[in-house]
Parts: sequence; structure tokens; C-alpha cells
Amino acid sequence: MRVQMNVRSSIIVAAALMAAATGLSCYESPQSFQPITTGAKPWNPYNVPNYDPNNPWDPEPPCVTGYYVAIDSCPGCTGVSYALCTGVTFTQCVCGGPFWPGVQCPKSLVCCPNDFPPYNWLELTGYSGPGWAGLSPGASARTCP
Amino acid sequence: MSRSSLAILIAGSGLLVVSAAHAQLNEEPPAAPDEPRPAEPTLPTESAQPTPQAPTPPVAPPPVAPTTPVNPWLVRPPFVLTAGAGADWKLTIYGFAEADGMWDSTRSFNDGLNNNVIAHPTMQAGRNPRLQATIRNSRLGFKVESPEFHGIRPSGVLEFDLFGNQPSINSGGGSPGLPSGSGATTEAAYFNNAAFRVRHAYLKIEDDFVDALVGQTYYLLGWQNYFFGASCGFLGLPNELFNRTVQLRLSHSFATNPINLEIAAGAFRPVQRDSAVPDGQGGARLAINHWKGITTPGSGGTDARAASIGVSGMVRQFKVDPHAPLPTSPIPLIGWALAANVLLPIIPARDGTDRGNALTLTGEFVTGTGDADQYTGMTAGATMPNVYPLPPGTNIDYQGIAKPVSTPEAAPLVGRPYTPNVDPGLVAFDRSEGIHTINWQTFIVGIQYYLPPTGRVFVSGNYSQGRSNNIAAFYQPIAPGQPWINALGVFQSSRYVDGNIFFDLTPAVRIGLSYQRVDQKLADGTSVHNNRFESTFLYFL
Repeated sequence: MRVQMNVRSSIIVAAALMAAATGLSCYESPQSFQPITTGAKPWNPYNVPNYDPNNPWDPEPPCVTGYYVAIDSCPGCTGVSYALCTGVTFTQCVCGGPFWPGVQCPKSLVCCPNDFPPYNWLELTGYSGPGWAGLSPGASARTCP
Repeated sequence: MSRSSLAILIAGSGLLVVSAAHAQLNEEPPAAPDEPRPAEPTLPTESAQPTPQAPTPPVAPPPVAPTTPVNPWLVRPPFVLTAGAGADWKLTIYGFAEADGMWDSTRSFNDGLNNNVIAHPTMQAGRNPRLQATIRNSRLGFKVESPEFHGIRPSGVLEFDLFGNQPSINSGGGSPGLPSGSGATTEAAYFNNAAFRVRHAYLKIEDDFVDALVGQTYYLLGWQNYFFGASCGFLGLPNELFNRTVQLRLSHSFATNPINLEIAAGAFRPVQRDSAVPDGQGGARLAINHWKGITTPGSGGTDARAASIGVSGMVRQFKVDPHAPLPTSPIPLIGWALAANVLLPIIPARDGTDRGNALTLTGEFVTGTGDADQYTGMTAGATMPNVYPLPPGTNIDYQGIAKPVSTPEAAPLVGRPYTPNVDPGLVAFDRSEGIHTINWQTFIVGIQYYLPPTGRVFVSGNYSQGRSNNIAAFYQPIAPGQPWINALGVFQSSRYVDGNIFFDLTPAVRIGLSYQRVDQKLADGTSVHNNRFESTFLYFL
């Protein structure tokens, strides 16, 4: 009898291990937000605090994934942050980060040590610069803390 | 009696360690187990035993008197070699030599239809026929059974065919529009020098409580190969579950004289190794032992199998690298599938040789997502990006290739290849680079009738459908900077129908003729079809 119970226990343990190993605990709905880079958050340029409907994006440029524009409206960020193109529009953003070899601060801005764009992303250069996409006009004149 | 514990197996991934015990040595040794061996000849007298694929029951069934085959002419004894003082080491050699010829109305397929995409009618391959001849479906298998040890009955199987990895034919082979390249080969080499391929390679350890199988064999989803229909076409037929992989499977059969209930679960090779967790599959199958029907899984292995219904399921995880500058966090997704199968002997048979006027129905229904690999060659043409996005306004040449833009100030993104970390056909990116699993619903029904008086001549037909409700949305061209999207080479639904007639010239020689038609609706809305006529010649070992 004891042996039979051991057998049953082994089967139960094995089944439990399989279920656990299958990774159900790691499940995320495919409809949930998918960050396109580490730490990215949802971002909508039309919801930024200083968005002026009479002076919208100038105009919103076409883009592809891998390109960013500098902003200062990413939730939870201080200093320079970056809107990230996902597909054909800017829908995510990320705070500025540390320097990495080859990176340059977006034009006309002063980058502090943790203001640089995300690793390997490129600047979309065909836009009008500060003042566009929610970036405050005084951003380029700020000093590092 | 003595009791001992046994650490049965350590999965190849090292993730699972399962221990089990065996006991009850004073019980009668149960009947020798049988393995799922497609097209393997079986003695008709075995039909009086529990179902051919059923593991050994924990309680020996009532003794059954040996029976005489209904039609001894059909008996093809297995090729068994024995060794050892008690002749208790057994090697069974099985397989068949097969030659096939097939004519297609398009140039869309290699020798197997499977689930490949039909060429668009605007393409050369979609407008012209093709004729092929092949021996690649020939097969050779070995099963070894060694003596029982303290109630443990070990066995192993090695089985091969000639569908080994080979370069594509330089005319594009089964991939419409595929350009020839340095890795291509010739038609002559492709068919005449067919490469060996492993189909099954596993060990099985059985005792009275649990059976463990480790190695490569059929997936559990769909209870392969119990419910396969009969066809000259190479399995898996379009929209039919059919594939094999490495696995650790535990099973147990609750056996009685009238009914067997088998349950099984296992950890399977992850469909995406970067998910870092195994796939899980499980299921239950109920068999009515004394209600048997004659069935031929594919074009060989005709035998009597018990009426049965099966349910099975699968769950798996993906962790896909975003189509964006790396490194970054991979995106987790879940894939799953549920399957229901039936084998229904409408006009039953007494044993595997009682074939005259036998009529059997097979059926399968499957719904799932991220499960295309469970079907043979099933990508539906769904490609993954192979390059990073091109910058806005990039001019594309007539081949869909753009000149990389120089960006000296930053690491160049454009022009660098993007290497997906998951096989194609399982997941797809949407317009916002969100990643989704691809959904599929399929069903297949088959009927096979063995003509009186002996069943040496039999006919079969199969019909299947498959449909994805989201693949077309992912494969519409949305920007010239995404040249990997080809809506002309992706199908969103398919239908398949075939009709077959087989004739057993001798117990070892079978000839078959077949008509097969595939219809597909491509992602751009175009309907395409392919007609195939096929002949097959088999010699069973």
C-alpha cells in the first residue's frame, strides 16, 4: 500500500512539475501593453498637459519602429524623455537614460548624464525640433542638476 | 516482495525529474506492449488483445483464446529476430519501400502537399503544371524489446524515412517565389539522393502503474496516430494534426474487458527554445475494445482498431524579441490548442484481416492559437521580419530592397538584419509592432470502405477545412518599408478533398491511385486551387 501511495505521489508531483514548468504563471494577455523597449510606457501626444489643439503636431511625421523624437511629457520622467515610434506612429515613450557609445543628445538640447535616448534607437530628424511633440521651449536651456 | 523506487527519467531539458515505483511482482506479467508504429504490420491475432496502442493495463485482462484470422491470406508476419538464452531479446524490423508519382496543376508543391501555400495566379508557378516522382516516403524501423526486470518492461524504437534536410530545389521547390541561391540543389539530387531522416527515436519504460516514454515520437495532441485517415497523400494531410518531437510522456491505461480509458500528459520540446519552458500536452482517450473497425493510417499499416474518442490539449509559452532595437525585454505570449478525435467503425470487423465490407469513419476538430507547428509544414506563408524597418521615405527598388541610409552619429539600425527568435507561422506583428499568436480552427473527416469479399480493394475519402480569423490582418502591406510582408503568399483559409483507391496485389504489395484538390483563400482575397493526381506503390517489409 505504501508503495502504491508513493507511486501516486510521484505521478502527482510529476504532473505538477509539468504544469509549473509550462509557465502558466508567466502568462500575459496578448492584448496587454507590450513595451517596445525596456521601461517603455504608453504615450499619446494628444494627452500631454500642454497640448495645444490649435497648434498640433507640425504635422505628425511618418515614422517606423526604431526612431524617436525628444519630448518632456513621458509620465513619471524628469528631464528629457523620448517618444518611440511603434509601427507607423508614436505610441510609447521612455525616460532618458545613460550615455552609450555613439549616442548623441538630440539637437538643440542639453543632455544631462541620464538624459540620453534608448540604446540603439535613432533620432527622427525630419521634425521641427523643440516645441514640437510637447517638448517645452525652454528645455534646451536647462542646466543639469 | 521486494519494493524499490526508481528515478525514471531526466528530461533532456533537465527541467523535470520524475520518480516512480513499481511493485506487485507476484502479479501475472501482462501482455507485451505495443508501440505506435505507423504502417507496421501486425498479426491479426493481436487484435484479440487490448487495443494496439493501449499501454499495458494494470490488471491483466481475462485470458482470450487464440483466434484464427478471418482471412489468413492477409496475414503478414512481423520480421522478428531474437537473441539470448531464452530468446527474450527481440528485434522487430519493419517498414516499406514506396514509389510515388504525382502531377499537379500548379508548381506550388514538392512531393508532399501538407500545408504549403498555392502559388498566386499572377505568378509563373501558379499558371503551369508540375510532375514529380519520389521514393522519399519509404521507411525503415527497428523496435527492440529487452527482458523484463523487476516488473519494468523496457523497449525502444528507431524509425527513419527519406525526408531528411535538403537544400531547396533551384527552381524554388515548394516555396513559390523563392529565388535560387548558393544553398540550392538540383532536382536530380533532391529526389535521387534523398537524405535519411529520423521519425521516431524513443525508449519506453512500462510497469503496472505508469508508462514513461522519452524521446521523439508523435505529439500527444490529437492522439496521433490513432485517428489518421487513409490516403495516398503524404501525411499530414492539409489541416490535419501531424508532427513529432522530443518529449517526456507519462501515461496510464485503466483497462477493462469492454473499455479502456487512457490518460497521458507530458513535457514536450518547447516550440521556441527562447521561451525557456517546455510545452505541455495532455489528454484522455476512451476505447470500446470489442467494437473494432478496419483503418489504414495513411497508405499502410491496415489493421483493426477499437472505436475510440479522444480529447487532448496543449499549452505553451512564447517570448518573442520585439521588432525593435535590441537588447530589450522579450514579449511573453501564450499558445494553446484543444482537439477532439473520433474513430467510428460504422461496419465493424472482428480482426485486422476481416476487411471485406468494413466501413470506418475518422474525424478531428481542433481550435487553438500559436499552434501551427502541430500541422505539417504549416506556416501559411506567414513570414517574420528579416530586417529592421526602413526609415520614412526610403525608396524601394523593384526587388523591394532599399539602400541603407547613412547614420554616422548612431549605431546603424537600417540595413542590419533582424533575426526572429521564433519559427515562422506561429506569431505575427501588427501595425504597431504588437505581437500576436496566429489563430487556427481546423477539422478533417475521413471515410474508408473495404470492398467485399476480402477487402483487398478499398476506397477512402477525406475532407478538411482550416481557417484563421486574424492572419490576413497581419499580412496586408502597410508601408513600403516592410518588404517581408507578402499578402500574395499567405493563405487565411484552406479546404482539401481527396478520393483514393487501393489494391493489395499480394499481402506485401499495395497499389494506390488518388485525386487530391486543395483550395486556398490568400490574404489578398484571391482564391487559388491545385489539382493533384497521384499513384503510389508500396512493398511492406
